[in-house]
Parts: sequence; structure tokens; C-alpha cells
Amino acid sequence: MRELLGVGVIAIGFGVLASLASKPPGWFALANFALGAAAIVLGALRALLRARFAGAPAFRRPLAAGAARVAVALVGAIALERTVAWSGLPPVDWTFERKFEPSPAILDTLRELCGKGELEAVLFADDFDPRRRSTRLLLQTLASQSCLKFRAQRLGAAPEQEEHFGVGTSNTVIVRQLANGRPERFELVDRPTEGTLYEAMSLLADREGGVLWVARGAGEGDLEAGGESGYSGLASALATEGYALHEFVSAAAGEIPDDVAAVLWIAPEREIPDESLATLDRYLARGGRLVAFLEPGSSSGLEALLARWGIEPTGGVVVDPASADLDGCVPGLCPLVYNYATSHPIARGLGPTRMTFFRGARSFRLRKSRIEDQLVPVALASPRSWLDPDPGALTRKTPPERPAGESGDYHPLVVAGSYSRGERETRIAVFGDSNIADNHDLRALYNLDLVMNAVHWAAVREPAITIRPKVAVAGRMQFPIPVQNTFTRFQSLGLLLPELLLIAGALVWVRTRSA
Amino acid sequence: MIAFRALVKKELATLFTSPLAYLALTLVMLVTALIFFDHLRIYNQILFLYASNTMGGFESDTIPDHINVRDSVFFPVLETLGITLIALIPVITMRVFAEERARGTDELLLTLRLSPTQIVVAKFAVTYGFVILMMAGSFVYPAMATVEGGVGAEHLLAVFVGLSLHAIGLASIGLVCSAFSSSQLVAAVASWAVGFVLWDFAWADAFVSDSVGHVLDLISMHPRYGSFAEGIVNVEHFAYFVGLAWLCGALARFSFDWRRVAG
Repeated sequence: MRELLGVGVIAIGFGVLASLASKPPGWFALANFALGAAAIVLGALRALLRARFAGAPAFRRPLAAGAARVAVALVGAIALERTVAWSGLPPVDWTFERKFEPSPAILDTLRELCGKGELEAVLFADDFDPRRRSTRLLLQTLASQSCLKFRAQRLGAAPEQEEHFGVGTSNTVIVRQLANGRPERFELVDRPTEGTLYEAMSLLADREGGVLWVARGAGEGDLEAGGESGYSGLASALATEGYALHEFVSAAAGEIPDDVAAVLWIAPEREIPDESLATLDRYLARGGRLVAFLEPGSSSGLEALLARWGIEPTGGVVVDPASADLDGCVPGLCPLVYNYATSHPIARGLGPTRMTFFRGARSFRLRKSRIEDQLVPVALASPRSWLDPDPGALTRKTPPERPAGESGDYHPLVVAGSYSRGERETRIAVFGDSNIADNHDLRALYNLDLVMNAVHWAAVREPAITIRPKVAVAGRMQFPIPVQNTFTRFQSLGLLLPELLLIAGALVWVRTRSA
Repeated sequence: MIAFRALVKKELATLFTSPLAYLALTLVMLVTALIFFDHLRIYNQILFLYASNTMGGFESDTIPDHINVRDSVFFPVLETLGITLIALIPVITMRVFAEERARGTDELLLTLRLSPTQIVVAKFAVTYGFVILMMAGSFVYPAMATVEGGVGAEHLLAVFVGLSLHAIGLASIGLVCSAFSSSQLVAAVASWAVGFVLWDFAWADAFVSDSVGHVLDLISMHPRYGSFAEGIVNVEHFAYFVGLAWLCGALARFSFDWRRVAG
């Protein structure tokens, strides 16, 4: 019996070895599997027969009890593992970049998609693609926390599918939605990260965020410009989250329709005509929504309009000694914000560890014109910050000097106002900096979340407010571990400890022999 | 309870008065240190090559994503050690039951008012303790190097937890093989073979259906502890190894009943 079991195990072992060497497995592997399986089955049968006819009932009873214990352990082990697996306990993420902790945004999107029908993610990858592991784990993590079904497919194994989806390279993910009564929809993600998957899923979710009117004509930021100072990234993020963009020349637009989701006014550099400001004012008075980005030192007329709504932009620039020389900024002039009015929807999810970055900002004074108006400073510079009245400080290379007697105070850099003027609530969100939304800085830290959540709040889409996936800081895992420093450790711990252990073992051996 | 404690003490004494334990500890620590240091050295060389001025410098985004501590150091260390443990753990477990059988002292143990379950629990506990000690010892150097480098100490801990669980799984298999044999050599070879077969069923993908492949994947050890290399600690995988230890304990216990009938 033992001989048969031994032959069976060895044959299967060699079958495995042969299978690893050639795919698909050749005749040698298959013959070994057949031999191994036959030997094990025969051995087990012989063992059973021997047990059946051997010994008195008094011996057979404990044997049956022992076999029952094994069966219970087998069922129990399977039940334990499956119960834990199906309980949906989230895995603990000990990675350096915390890259397997899904952001609230992707989980919200998954929930939304799960409500619409079946959702599947298929990973096409080569067996030897090192990126496959991370992608698989990320998708498994998402699948464990939602209805998402995940499967991996070897690249080249299903050419029709690859052609259908347009898969061309390894480590490509297809996210498919099979909604009830609708044709299949899918998005291809060829560099899968949590961020790109989120964007693909957002497109599948097909959200209706309404139309954003984007003002032009007074030197505003360009949503089509792809350079660092352009705003194409913002346009793309807005489209991903369901907004249609409509550019309008403020001087020639006529009345702004009431059904506009919000008006976006990005860093006007020139004077806005009075008629345009009057149009905007009338729109706001009818319950309109505005998101404005103002650069320090600019004076376009929008400042005066906002002041009438209780949000008065201050002149000059905010100097925050708490922020150092970040990203080439003169120390103090690029506030790193960690103070938020977290009770306000725009700042939901932000906090001291979720900072935003302003490349030169102005502040605001808030004065309610009516008691029922709600004016909230959403994001504030540190309590050590102060105002330099000269916006030219931004162009100098030396840090501004704090005037005598200036003790510092919180200075709001983003403010939000809600007003009851007509049938609808008027909402205004104003940023004291426009760089926060440009291509260079939009995805720095939590800037995108602050900007997008402000737009969602102004457009009365609070459920869409969330914290989005962050790009993993890949470079941090690419820092070298200094070998020269660790070489000493290698000698003292890596080599010395085993040496001491070996000496101890040798002594034990000698003593045992001499005893 | 006194007999149980005596048995644990005896097992510990047997383990640490044998040069085999020291040899195994030395081997695992040395192999871990060498593999880790070698991967670290190669990783640094490649990193500096990519980060050199001729390639554009550190900030130029020329370093490929896969050149990082996780993929270049942690993962290969875990893979290599995982394979090494398949061969090494049976050397530690082979004697635990088989030696008693060969000498006939297993009968003696049963006369000491010790139930077979107590014997199994004592032997499993001591072996698990030794395996954990072995893994902890082997991670002293990598831990120091990683902490000094300031990169991913938590991640390394996940790697250590994964390897320890893998070692415990292999030790459980080795103990069952030892329990069913009176020859240490047969026990070692059998546990090596079973460990190797259970290591990864990916080879079977080519000729089984998807559903069977999925079940085989659930049984395999490699996918279970592989995620620890990624820095993910999954309770489901803990449950797998706990279940494996439970099943192996029951099988080892069954070997006592089997012996009474089969001899």
C-alpha cells in the first residue's frame, strides 16, 4: 500500500515538473499523471480493504472515529476559509504606497455600476509580465468589495476576444457592463491603475452632470490648452465626472439659461464688460451657480460683483510661513493648506493629512449682506499666515518680510456662499488661485478633489462629492537602499548570526558524540 | 497537563540538542541574507544605471516602473525562499513522529497518560515554534537593512508573515508525512513531494476546465502567500493556513488510529 502511494506521489511530482517545462503538457507529463493517479487510487483501495477486514470491531471503531475527525477537519477547514473569503473582509494594505486601499470614489462608482447590471473586469496579460500581479491584486481587491467579477486571461489565448475588445498589449484590462436590456458596453484600460480604472468606470457609469458654461473673452484660462498652464486636465476631469462643457463669450452671450449646471469663470485677466457682469448678476439672482478662480492682483470686475455677494477678494497675496520652498516656489508664497471647514460638503474627506497646494493665492473677506446667507471659508492658510499687500511679491525671488506687529491669522483661500434669493438657492464657490486647477497642479496632492468637489457642490451634485484615487508615488519605492551602509549590517547580522549558530550546532554535535 | 508539559520539554530538548536544528537555522538565515543582499545589490546597480546622468537623471522619469524595491527585492526574495523552504522544512519535520516510530517510543508515550491528541498538539506546537523562530531569525538582517533604507518596513513585515505562514503550512504537511511513516527518509521525500505538488497548480491550467482550475487555485499555497509579497495581508489566506494546520493535525491524529489497525 505504501509502495503504491509512494510511486503515486513521485509520479505526480515528475508530472508537475514536466508540465512546468512544456505547455501544453506532453506525453511524459500525462503518462506520469495517469500512473500517479492510478497508483494512489489503488493504494487507497488497498488501505481501505485492509482496514475493512483487519482487526476486531474494537479496533475498527476508533479508526472510524479518526476518519470522521479527519472529515470534520476537512469540512471545517473549507468552511472556515470560504466563510472568511465570502465575508468580504477587506485586506490590510501594508504596501509603501497604500496602493490597494480603494478610494471612496472608485467604490462609489462601483456601487453605482452594480445597480445597473453585471460588471466584469478581464485582465489580459502574459504569464511573465511582472505588472500582472499588482493589477490582479488591485482588481481582486475591488471585486471583494463590490459586485465586480474578475477573471484573468492569458494574452493570446482568446484571439477573438482580444480582437473584439481591441486588446494589443499585456496588462490590459477590459471593464464590461452588461446592463439589463442594453447592449454590452466596455472600456479598455491599457495602463491599469486605480486612477485609470476609476476613469473608465466613470465613463461606463454615464453620469449626467449637466452643462457647465465656461466663460471666455476676457483672457480666461483655456480648457483646450494642453501645456502646463492650460486647463485641459480640468476639462477631462469634468467630462469624466459627467459634465458637458459649453464655452461662451461673456460679452455676446445674452442671458445665461437657468438650466445651466454652473458657470465656470477661470482667471479672467482683462476687464469683463459691465453688461456681462450684469448678466451674471441676474443669473445668480435667479438662483444661479458660479465657480470662479481668481489670480492674486487681477482686477476684472468679477471681484466687485463677488463683493456684492459678500465675498470680497483682498488685494495682495497670502504669505504662509508654514509652507517651505515647495516645487520651486519662494518660501511662504505657495501655501500648503491643511485647514478645512470639514462640515462643508466641498471639504468632505479632506483633513490635516490631505493637503492642497496653492501656487500663490489671494484671500477673501466675508461679509453677509443678509442674515440668512451662508458664507463659509472652506480652505484656509495656516494661522501663521499674513497678507502682503503687494502682489508683485509673487514675481520676486526672495521671501517677503513679515511687517512688525503682524501676528498672523487664518486666511481663507477658498470660500463658498449659498443664498436664498429666488425659488432656487444661489451657490458661489471662489478660489483665490487659478493654478490649483491648471495642468501643472491639478493632480498635485488633493487639488483635484477640492476643485471637483467645489464644482459638484455648486452644481448641486453633493452625492458626487468624493475623494478620488491618487497616483501612486512610484518613485518612493525606487529610492535606493544604500548597500554600502547595509554591507556592515550584512556582515554583523547577515553573516555573524549564522556563524554563531553554526558554532553552537557544532559544539552540540561534539558534546553529543562524546557523551 | 504535567505529562503534556514534559513532552513539550522533551521535544524542545530533542530539537536543540541535535545539530540538525542549528544547521537548519544557519542555512535559512544564511540563504536569506545572501539572497536579500544579492538582490539589493543588483537592484541598486540597475537603479543607479537608470538614474545616471547619461540616462537623464533621477527626476527624468526614465526608471521603469518595475525597478522598485517590491518587484526587484521583496518579491524575488520571497519566491526563492518559498522554494527553498519546500526542500528545507521536511528536514526539520521528518524526525518528529518517524523517529519515535522507528525507536518504538511512540508506544511509551501513550502509556504516559497522554492522549494521541495531546501528543499531536505538543509536537505540532514545538515544530511551529521552531519554524517561526527560524523565520524571525532569518529576517533580522533584511529588516535592519530595510529600516535603515527607510523603505517599506511594514511591507517587509507582510513578506515575513507570508513566509512564516508558508513555512507553517509546509511543516504541517511534513508532520503528517512523518506521522504516517517510520522512516525519516520516506517522510522527508514524501513531504517534499506533497509540498511541491501543493505549491502551485498553475501547471494544470492547460488541461482542466476553468472551474476546476479555480478550485485548484484555491488549494495551491503559492497564490496564498504570494499576495504577502505585494504587501497585502488577507485574512482569507490566514484562514487557509489555519485550515491546513487543522486538517494536518487531524490526519496526524488519525495516524495513531491507523497504526493500531494497520500496524
